[in-house]
Parts: sequence; structure tokens; C-alpha cells
Amino acid sequence: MTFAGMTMEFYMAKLLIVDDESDIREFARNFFRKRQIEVFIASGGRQALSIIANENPDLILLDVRMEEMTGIEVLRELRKNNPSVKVIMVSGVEDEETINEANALGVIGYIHKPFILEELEKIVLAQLNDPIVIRKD
Amino acid sequence: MGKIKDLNKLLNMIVYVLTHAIQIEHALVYIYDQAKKKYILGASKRKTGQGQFIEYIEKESSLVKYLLEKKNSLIFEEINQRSLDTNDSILIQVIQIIISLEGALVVPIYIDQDLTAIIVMGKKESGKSYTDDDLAVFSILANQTALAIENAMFYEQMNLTHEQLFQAEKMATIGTMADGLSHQINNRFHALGFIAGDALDTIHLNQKELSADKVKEVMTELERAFVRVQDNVVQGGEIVQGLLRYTRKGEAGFVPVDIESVLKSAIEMVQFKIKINELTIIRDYDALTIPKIKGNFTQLQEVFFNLIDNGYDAMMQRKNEANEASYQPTLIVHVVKEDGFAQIVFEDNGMGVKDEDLHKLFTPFFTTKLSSKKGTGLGLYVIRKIVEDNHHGQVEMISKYMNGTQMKLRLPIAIG
Repeated sequence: MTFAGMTMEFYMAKLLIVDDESDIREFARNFFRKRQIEVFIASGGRQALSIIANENPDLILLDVRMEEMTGIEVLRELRKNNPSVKVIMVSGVEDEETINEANALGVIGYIHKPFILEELEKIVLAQLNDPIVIRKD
Repeated sequence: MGKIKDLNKLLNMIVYVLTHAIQIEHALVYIYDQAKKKYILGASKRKTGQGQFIEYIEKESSLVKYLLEKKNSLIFEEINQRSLDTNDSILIQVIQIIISLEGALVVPIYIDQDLTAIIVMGKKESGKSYTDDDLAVFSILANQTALAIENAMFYEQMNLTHEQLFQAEKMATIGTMADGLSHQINNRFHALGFIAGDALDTIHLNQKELSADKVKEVMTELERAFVRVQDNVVQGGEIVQGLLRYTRKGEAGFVPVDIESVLKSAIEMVQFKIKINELTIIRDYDALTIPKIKGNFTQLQEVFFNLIDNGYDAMMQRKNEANEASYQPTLIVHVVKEDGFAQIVFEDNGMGVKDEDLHKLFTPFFTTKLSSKKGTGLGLYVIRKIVEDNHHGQVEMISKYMNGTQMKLRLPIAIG
């Protein structure tokens, strides 16, 4: 859309939620969609990696304990091709080894379950860009 | 002698044998009491003569110290002679104690380096002295006695009824399940938090203006949210119920038990300890036509649990060590009716057991498990106790190293 010589683009931030719990995927997606964020969901590592390759999300919330591939395995795969995409690990009760491995591979941080959506909102919005980008022609 | 589990019976048998087989006036056994730090009179038998015997020997007494030093049997006559010759004050004290015990011969009983018991023997009825030959015989007897006492003390220390033993084993297993259980329960809370949070958020965002359409939309969303909340609550409750079923002490009652229910229940619990999706479980039976067994649900659940867990460990060991690209860990449960029994076989394709380890497997505390989640090593021992002693069934193990194992249970069918 053009206005007074400036083009305004609506850029919706892309959030990827990787969690093997369907309720988490469903309700987290509901929540962030209300905030003009494009939410992708993946129930496992392979699906997540495919979405990352196609959609290039701005932030990934990555569950540590999953059945098919662990969060660390996904992170490791991801970092092979994408050293910079932002990742926040979501964990239950994790041991030091996992935390160290995650830090070595590069993560923004860790959040521990259970936490409430309000807390998550603050963290996510802090990491994502504004939805509107104003560019002078 | 090694078969006597009751320490008291054992000690009484020892003194009886000594007084009757060897024809001596009396025999006493003093056994070390850890709590009281004394050698307490465990058993005594007097054949000739009268009177009470001394109740205990102090750990710090000269006799005990002398025995610890010499590590050998003491013949009263010899030491008496020596004390008269040397006038050694220690020897005199030792002599006095032996006299008070009416001892002619004192035999120390060692278990490893510890002086566990002291046998005091009176004079021979014949009046003859104890010879070196006698001592040689008693030394062998002492070793055997030591083993027997150790055995009896083991069972005494255990002092557990079967039920307590099963409970102890279960509690230990629950410890190893804590990780899986807490993860599952934590996830329920996490889900509940998200669902409620999103619902609240919807309400807040729409508080200002609510058109009729918007009301309908919001109501639909809220309805969905509460349905999911309830489902999570139910799931959480089921996890807790499963755990309670597992921890419950087996009621004495033996009733017709459905094999499929036990298996389902055991698998439900086992998933908290192991990654159940790494394993394929195949049921080689029709749940609708297999007979019910006469038994105790909780105990049978414990048996099935342990068998699945053992199979899993064997298969994981093979998976991690054997480097077979196409290896699929598979557990098959067969059920056939045979006369008045249900033959249930847990067949795995794991590491199998080496021939030399096979017979040891059912002994308490023996385990070949190398994983960090070793458990108590009571699994197979408990299984045998439950199946054979309590259910009057049979347990058989067939195994081939690097091939797999079959655990066969024969359990009586419920009549009526």
C-alpha cells in the first residue's frame, strides 16, 4: 500500500512452535494469531525442519523432550544450515548436560514448564520485529 | 546345615550336635550383637551338670582380644599351663573368663575378618583332653558353621515377609519411574495453563465490544477450551490412578483375573520407566477368548511389569552393542490354554543370557543389568516367589545368547 510516497508493508512475524503435545500447539497458536503473528506448528523434529526450510521463521519455540527426535537433535540438524535463526528451548526438568549442549549450539534462552501464556507472550514479543515495516521509496 | 534360615534354630542345632555327637558335657554359642556390642548367648545345651550359663561376653574382654590375636581355638588345659608357667596377667584374665564359661575348648567363628561367634565346649564326657586332631576337625566345622550362620543372619536381617519384599521392590522401581511420571504430569499442568491462558486472553480482548456474532464466536472458543481442560484433567487423573494401582499392596484375595487387563496395566506403568515407543509389543492371542487366571491382580501386574522391563533392557543392550542395522526390538506375548493352566510366554529378541549366568538369575540381588537404571536385582526372585509360591504356578526361562529370551509362566485358570 502506498501513501504519501512511502510504501507500507505488512510484515507478519513468523513463529514456529515445536511441541509433541497437541493442546500446546493448538492453544499457543490461537493466542499468538490474535497478535498478528503467523504461527506454524510442528509435532516433531522432521516436520519442524521442513517448515524451517520452507518458511524461514523469525523465532522457534523448541520443546526439548519429544518422542521422535529430541529438541537437541533438531537444534543440531538446524544449526548445520542455519547458524542464526532464533531458538528458545522449552523444557521440563532438564539436566545440565542438555543445557550445556543447547548453549553450545546457540539458543537465545530456556523456559521451564509449566509457565503461563502471559510469560511466554512477553518473551516472544521481545524477540519478534514489529509487524509493520515502513520503507521510504 | 546351610539350609537353616532361622538363626535360632541353627544355633540350637549346633549345640545339640556338639553335645550328642561329640559327647561333651555342654556346648554354648555366643553370637555377636551389633546393637549391644556384646557376644550374647545364642544357644546352650547342658548334658551333664547343673546351673545357668553366663549371658554374655564383653567385646572388650581379654578372652575376645586374645581370640582375635590368636585367631585359633583355645584349649583350656594348654593355656592354663602356660599361664602358670609365665604368670602372664593377660593369660590369667583369659583363664578366669574361660573358667566362668566352664569351657574346656573355645572355638572362634570368623566371617571374613570379623569374629562373629564364639563356641564354648565343656569337657569331654570321657574325661580325655582335646587333641590337635580334635582341633583340626573343629576348624573345619567352624568354617561350615560360619557359612551357615552367615546365611541364617542374612535371612534374619532381611526379616521381610514376602509382601514387604514385593513392596520394597516396587518402591525402588517407582524411583526409577519418577522421571517419566513427573514429565507426564508436568505436561498436563502445562497444557492446562495454556488452555486457560488462551481462553482468558479471548475474554479480555473482547471485553469492550461484543456483537451477537462475536459473542457466538467467543462462546465457541471458550467451550472448546473447557472441553480440552477437562480432557487434560482426566488424563492427569489416569496417570495418578495407574500409579496408585501399581503401588497398592496386593490384597490377599485371589480372584479371576483378566490377562489382557494385567498386561495393559503393566505396559501403562512401564512407559514411565522406559521409552515404550522404542519397543514393538505384539499380542499373540485373542483377548476375548483367552481364559482368566486365578490370581492377585497387583502381584501379577508386578510380574508382567518386571518381565517387560527385563525384556526391554535386554533388547536395548543388543541395540546399543550389537550394531545391527535392521534390528527391531520386539516383544511378543503368547497365551495358550494348556490343561487347567494358562501358558503365558514373554518372548524378546534381546541379548539373551549366557549359559553360565542362567541359574544365578533367580537369586536375590543378582543382576546382569549394565544400565544405570539397574533396579534392585530382585525382579526375577520376586517373580518366582509370586508365580510359584503364591499362585502355585511355574516359571521357566529359555534363553540363547545374542538371540533372545523366553520367559514362560504357567498360571492356573480360574474355574467358574
